[in-house]
Amino acid sequence: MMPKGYYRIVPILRSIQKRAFMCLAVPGEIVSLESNGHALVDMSGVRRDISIRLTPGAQIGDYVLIHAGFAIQIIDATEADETLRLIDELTGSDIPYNEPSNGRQP
Amino acid sequence: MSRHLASPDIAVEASSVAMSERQAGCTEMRRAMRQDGVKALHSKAFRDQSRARGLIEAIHRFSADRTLNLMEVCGTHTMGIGRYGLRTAMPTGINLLSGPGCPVCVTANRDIDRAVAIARIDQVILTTFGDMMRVPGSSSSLGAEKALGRDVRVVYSPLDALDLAISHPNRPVVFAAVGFETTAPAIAATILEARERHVDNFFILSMHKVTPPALRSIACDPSLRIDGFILPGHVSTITGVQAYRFLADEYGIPGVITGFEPVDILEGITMLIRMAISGESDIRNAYRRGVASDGNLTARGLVDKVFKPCTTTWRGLGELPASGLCLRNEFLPFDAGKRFDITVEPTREPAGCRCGDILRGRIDPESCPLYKTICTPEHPVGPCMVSSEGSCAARIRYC
Repeated sequence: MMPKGYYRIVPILRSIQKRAFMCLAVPGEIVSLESNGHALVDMSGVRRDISIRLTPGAQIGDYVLIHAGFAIQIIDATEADETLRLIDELTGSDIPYNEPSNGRQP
Repeated sequence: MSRHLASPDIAVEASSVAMSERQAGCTEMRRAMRQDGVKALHSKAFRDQSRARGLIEAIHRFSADRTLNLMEVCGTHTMGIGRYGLRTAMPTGINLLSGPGCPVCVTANRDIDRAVAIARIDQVILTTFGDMMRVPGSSSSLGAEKALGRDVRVVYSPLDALDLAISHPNRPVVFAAVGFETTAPAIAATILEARERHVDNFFILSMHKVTPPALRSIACDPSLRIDGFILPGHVSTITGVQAYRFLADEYGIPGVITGFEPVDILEGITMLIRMAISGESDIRNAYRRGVASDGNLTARGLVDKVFKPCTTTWRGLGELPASGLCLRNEFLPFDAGKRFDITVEPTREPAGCRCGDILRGRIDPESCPLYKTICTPEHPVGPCMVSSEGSCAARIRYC
């Protein structure tokens, strides 16, 4: 049984693979650590073996930016929150950033 | 307050309690803690329309009818600005220019010709990233060579090329390596892995480039007046913030390291406009979740170990010192240029194509006489139209 969303995301990933946009990095979650510096990551439901040689500190559960089969950075969730806080301060808006999609304004 | 509005919070709380009861493991706790931030990171928060609208209003407010030329130097920004229609959302005075940010586009014709020459050698398997296939060299392209029966393959990762070399021990496998700082560490790590695994039929043709010399060339061009740089997010993931400090210190041009979601790009532009208007010149980081101020030291260490800076030629910018990456002496056995004795055909540029001027930000794609007339995505003449990240291709696709 494929994870939810699998069939929707496969063509997208295939097209990424074909076009291989140059500096595009996609986020993925580390599911398990393999031997010799590799890890299994989950990218929106698709699992792929990648190298974590460039991010030796990466642990299971970390979200990483993946480029050309390598994790290039561990995503910092607290910095993401901080960035959103600064933006909302600037624009004077008070949108909670984890609101559900059905609550979004058109 | 209606039940509908109150329910999401309750649901989030309930699910996190259930999660901690169900799976008390450290990993799960850690995941649960990060989940909110990371979910916010991609799907919703940085694509939120009201937040984007707020930033567009802020841009209109801050820019106050000033004329400012802001240049992005990353193919993914070119695509993002086109896809999200940000150019049309800007006040009339704010010009968003595309610089030399598409690695395929800045690759000189001679380098494409070298890759083509290697693909023509008997038994060679030439591998590369997908964008390279259609880029025309002087008389051919890698895609055209594949159509003629040469073994040219598209790979997602240089590690796939290494696997190919391991599974075809009797055939030389060459990886035509293009890309900026983001990609170079992946190639460096692959070469180290090839050495560790004693693979002797894997070679690379290094066409790597680093961005600071190109930015310097643009910053000191008197015919261009750039008021601020939208700096590339994923290149900075590796290089960190300091690599661009010279723009502010030596040329007085501010720069903001910017992410790729619409809210990211708009925030970068807002910060840039504020600095440009107030006359501040600084390099700031608006993509902190993906860019640490030192960048990725491990990745830079690997690149330093395998590559050394060398002079290389950029389409549109010409020859720039220390702007390319060549293999260090101890890694020369992996250099396809050394392994094969190739004769490269004389370089011929496509007649009338102004890709070079477009890459410098001197002209808009619309000002090129070939644009949309004889140069179209179906029949591209130059690399700016071939690559999906090229300025011309992005302009046609989204405008």
